[in-house]
Amino acid sequence: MFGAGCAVMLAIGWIAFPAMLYEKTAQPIQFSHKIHTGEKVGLSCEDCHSFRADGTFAGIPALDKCAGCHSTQVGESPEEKILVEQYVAKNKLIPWLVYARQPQNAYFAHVQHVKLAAIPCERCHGPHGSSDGLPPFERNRISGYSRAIWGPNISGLKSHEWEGMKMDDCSHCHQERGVHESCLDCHK
Amino acid sequence: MKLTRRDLLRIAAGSAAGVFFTPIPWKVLDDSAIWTQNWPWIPQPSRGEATQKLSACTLCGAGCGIRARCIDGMPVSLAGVGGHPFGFGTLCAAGLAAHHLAFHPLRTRTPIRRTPGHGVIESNSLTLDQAIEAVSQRLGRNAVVAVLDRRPGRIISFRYRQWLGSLPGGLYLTPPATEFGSLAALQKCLKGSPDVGYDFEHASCIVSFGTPLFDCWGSPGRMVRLLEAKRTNGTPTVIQIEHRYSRTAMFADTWLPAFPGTEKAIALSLLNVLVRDGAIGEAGKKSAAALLGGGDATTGLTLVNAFNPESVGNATGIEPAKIVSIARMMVEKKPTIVLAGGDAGAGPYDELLQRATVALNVALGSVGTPGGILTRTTSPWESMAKGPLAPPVSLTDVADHSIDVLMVDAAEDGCWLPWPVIDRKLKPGNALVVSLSPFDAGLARHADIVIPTSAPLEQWEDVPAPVDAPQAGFALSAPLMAAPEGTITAADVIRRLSLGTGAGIDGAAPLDVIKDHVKMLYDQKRGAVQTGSTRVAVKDIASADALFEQLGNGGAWFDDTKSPTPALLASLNPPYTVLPTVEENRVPEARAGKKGSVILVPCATKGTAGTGETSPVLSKLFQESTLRPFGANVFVNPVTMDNAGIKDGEAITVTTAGSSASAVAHIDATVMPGIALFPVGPDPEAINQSPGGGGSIPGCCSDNQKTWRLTPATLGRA
Repeated sequence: MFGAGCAVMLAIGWIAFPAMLYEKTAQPIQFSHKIHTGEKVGLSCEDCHSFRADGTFAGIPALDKCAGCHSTQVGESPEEKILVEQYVAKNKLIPWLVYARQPQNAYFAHVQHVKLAAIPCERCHGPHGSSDGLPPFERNRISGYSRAIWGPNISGLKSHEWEGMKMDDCSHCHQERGVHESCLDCHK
Repeated sequence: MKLTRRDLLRIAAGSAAGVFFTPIPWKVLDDSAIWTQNWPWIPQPSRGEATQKLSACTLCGAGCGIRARCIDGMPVSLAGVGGHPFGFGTLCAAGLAAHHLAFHPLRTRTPIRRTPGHGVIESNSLTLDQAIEAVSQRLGRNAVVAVLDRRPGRIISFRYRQWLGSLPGGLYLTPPATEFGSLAALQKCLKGSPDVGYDFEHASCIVSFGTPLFDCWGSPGRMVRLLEAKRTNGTPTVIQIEHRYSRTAMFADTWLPAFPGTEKAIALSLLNVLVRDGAIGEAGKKSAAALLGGGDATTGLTLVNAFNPESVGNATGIEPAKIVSIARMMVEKKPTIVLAGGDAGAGPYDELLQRATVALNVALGSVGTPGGILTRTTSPWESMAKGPLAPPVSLTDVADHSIDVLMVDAAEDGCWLPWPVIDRKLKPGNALVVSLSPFDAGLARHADIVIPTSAPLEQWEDVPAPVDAPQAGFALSAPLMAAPEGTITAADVIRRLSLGTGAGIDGAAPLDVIKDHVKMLYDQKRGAVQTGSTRVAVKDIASADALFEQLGNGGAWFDDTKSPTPALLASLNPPYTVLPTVEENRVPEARAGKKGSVILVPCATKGTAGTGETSPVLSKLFQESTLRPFGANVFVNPVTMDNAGIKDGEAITVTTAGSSASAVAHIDATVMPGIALFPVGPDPEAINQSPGGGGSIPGCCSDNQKTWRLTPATLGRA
């Protein structure tokens, strides 16, 4: 009976708990990075996720970046139809759900990591740049942050170096590269 | 199968045991911690457009460049500016949090009137007009009126001098030279007293008596670059002579442990070796000796001869061979710079040591040569100031009990200035102390009236080149926030006080004043503006507005006028015709083991010395870690601890001739036996408690009014 209790709790902990902890929400548009970075269109990461002249990172592009090419429908995909009709035509901002959103007290500068340290985008964002669609945003019901911050494995173990964006993950990479870090570097 | 109560209990027990092998408790704990950080009532910075502003830090004289990230116009984080001519990309911990200070709990936005001795604060009962009127009433014809300016050389400094120059009893006071005592000492020995600065970048050897070269001294960014160059190229060789194995000593090539008070004997002994070896030439020998002999080289040489390494070694416990080897290295590795002092908490070194460093620099040919100490032109603002200017006078050179009205400017130099050093200069009983300060902290705590001024980064300011820079110059500190209602600029205070005296003090806004001065500089076509590694001559800049814009975008102006050629004065005061004997420098009895006897030596991290207005973020350096010591703690060698009969972490009493105080004792093997190191700030927990800052250890100002460096004390169990 003791063992049964253990087994039940293990099942709850490893199977039910992760399923219940996160609530899934689909992105407003199933954007395909693969199409945009593929041979036909040939965009690079920085074409849309660009740095401004002062070094700040533009992040997820604003509507006008998409509207630059998609002011009208250029293809036949239903997702593009949603983009054009519901957002571009109405000049309405796309409410993207940001997988990598960090707390307000954590300051991250893309320019230092991308330009200065020459770290490729894939190091932290994995194969996201070649994905054919966007995974659902899995919001942690307790903390409010994306599952991508903790990592896909509920145990916290990582199969790939890009999984997880918690402080330990950042710090681990800093240590690997021999970068000196202090509190005020990231927490202003 | 029927489940019994026992079965249910077993299942529950199994579940309870099993839960620890699931992510549930750990993940819920982690996520709950994050949840608590995002409660809706926790203040968040406002959302808005992210912009960037360039400015310069004004918390000390280093003037490091600042790049501020602003959200909706409010600074949310500061960083250094790579390539900035003063900061070189560096910002110290205090500077990184400079934008917090405007919101410090000790910030004052209304005048404060304090009844001295009673601690009663009548704030909000005084308007600005009433505060200024209260000061005006004390500016009688015969009153001795002084302004204490801890960062001379700014445009406002010349306003003060202009105003004081119009008063019969006006005194413009500067603090005792703590950080740059050696430069001040050399200045006094040169004809015309030109400004001087170090050319570290071309030096091959630096001999430092206790100067924290690589620990926030001078221009931290410059010294960090020097350290990086040293790591890469191996030069300069650094010899650190001091009483503890400090951060600088750790980075130095050689640390020579020197008990406090023995430094001058060591310096004279180094000179003795140079003379004895014949390594410095007749001219150098005579000049150096004359500096000590009141202008007479023969007298000076006779005196130096007594300080041979063998006698000094006997008196100080240092191996004579070590002294000889350092002296010879100074010659072999020329150009060599010798300097003394600079810990932000400790007081100035004594004048004899400083004179000895001058003599060593002269003997080594380091004065006026690349890699040594260079003269530089005076501030361009001096020629632009109108009317007679009150000359700068060191606070400690003023007669005791002579000042009727003392006004204290808000600017800090990052170093501790104990209140008793100032207090003894005031006429007892009815002297008026006025603090022009945004904070009711530090020296303002001793003021009778506090007039609220702008906090750092709230107004336009000019930032003179750091004192140790080999060239005169300045940068601009642009405001990142608006100063609140009710504050006033120092210039406006002086203007209002000067009405009727004919001093003609301009009351224009700081930005307009700076623009006027920049225009005058432009009209003179003087100097060049450096931004990063690019230097553009002023004569090649299109307009005064363009010059101002370059300065406002992280540039700094440097003078290109020929610097004066240094020439030594023929006679000097004091003449040092009688030097202390080597015996008088024998290691004091305190080190010999008298129970609990120590020499109390204050210390501090620059920018946090004896002040109360530090950002709470600095608690990460001081209270939440062991990175930096802070007030009400005393650090002693294990031998000293044993000798005093106290234990690590124990509450103790520190007793000096004048007072006693409580502290906590800590072991620190880097401190020499017989010394108790005590930090004079910050003491964030003492907010609203500590009068005048400096922790709760008694001030070290006894009869020696010139310094507070060394105080005999006794440690004992509380």
